[in-house]
Amino acid sequence: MNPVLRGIAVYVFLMIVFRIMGRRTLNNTTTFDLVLLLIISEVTQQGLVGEDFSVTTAAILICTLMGLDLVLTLLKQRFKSLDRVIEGTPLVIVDHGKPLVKRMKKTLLDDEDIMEAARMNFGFEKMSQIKYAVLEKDGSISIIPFSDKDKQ
Amino acid sequence: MQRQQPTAEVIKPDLQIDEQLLLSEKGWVVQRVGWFFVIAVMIAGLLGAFGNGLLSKKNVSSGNVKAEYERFYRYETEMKVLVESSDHIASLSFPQQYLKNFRIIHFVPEPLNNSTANNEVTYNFLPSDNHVVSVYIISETYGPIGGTMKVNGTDNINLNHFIYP
Repeated sequence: MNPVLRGIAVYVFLMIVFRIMGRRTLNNTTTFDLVLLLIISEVTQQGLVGEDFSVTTAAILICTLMGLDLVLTLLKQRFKSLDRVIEGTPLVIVDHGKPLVKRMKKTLLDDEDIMEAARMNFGFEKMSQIKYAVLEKDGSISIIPFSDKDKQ
Repeated sequence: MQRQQPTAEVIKPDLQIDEQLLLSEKGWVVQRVGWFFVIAVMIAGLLGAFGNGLLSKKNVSSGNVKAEYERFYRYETEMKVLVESSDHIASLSFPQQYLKNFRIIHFVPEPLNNSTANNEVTYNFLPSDNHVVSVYIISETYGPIGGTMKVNGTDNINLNHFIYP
C-alpha cells in the first residue's frame, strides 16, 4: 500500500480510537499505561512501514503525519466546533468542594483521581479544600483552590 | 422544538471555561458505541474474522482431496494452504490470475519443477508416495481473491480469500 495512504489510515484510526477511549485512558497514569503506550507505538510502526525500511518511506511518512497534523490544527483553529468535537471540551468535575458524581461517572473518574491531583499540586488533604476541579482536554485534572476572597 | 436538557449536573462556575455539557454528553454516547466497537473487533479477531481462527479456517474437498486454507487474511502476511489426498499428489496447478495476487514463499515438500500452460502454473512433485503438500503464500493485494486449484489435473479446489488491507 502507498505509504501516504498507510499514514493517513493509521493517523485517522489512532485519532478515533484515542477519542472514543476517553481522555483519561493511557494518560500516563500508571507505569503499565506507559508500557501499553510503548507497545501501541511499536505495533503502529509495523503497520506504517510494513517491510519497507527505506529512508524515503520514513521521510514520506513523517511528512504525511506532520502534514495531517498541521491541516487538522489549521481546521480546528478555523472551525471551533470541529476542535470541540475532536478534542472535546474541559469539564468541571468538582464544584465548591462537592464532587459532580454524574459527570465523574461518565468520564470514568473517582474521588481518588481528583484527590491525587489535589495532593500533588497543592498538598490538599480534603475535597472540601477544592473550589473547582476541571478535567482538561488532555485528560489532566486542574485544581482551583478557594481564594482568600472566597474564604471571607 | 424543545431544547435538549443535560442529564449531568448543571452548574454555573465563575470560571472562564469553554464547557459544552450537551456536546460532552453526545461525546459520551459516541464513546460507549466506540467501546462496543473496540470489544467487537477484539472478539471478531479472536474468532478469526481477520484470519487465524474458527471463522477463517475453511475446509474444502473434492474427490479424495481435502484442502484447508484461510478465508480471511491480512495483506502482506504469510498464510498456508494445506492439501491432503489419499492418492499420491503429483501436481498442483494454480491459475496465473490467482497467483498474480500472491507471492509463493515455498512448498513443503518442494516441487521438482514447474511449467505454465493454459494460463495455469503447474508445480510437479517427485513421483513417489506424497500425500500432503503445504503451500506458503503472501498476499500482495487486498480485497476478494479467488481461484481454482487443480490437484493432479483433475480435482478442482476453489480457493476464496478476503484479504484485509
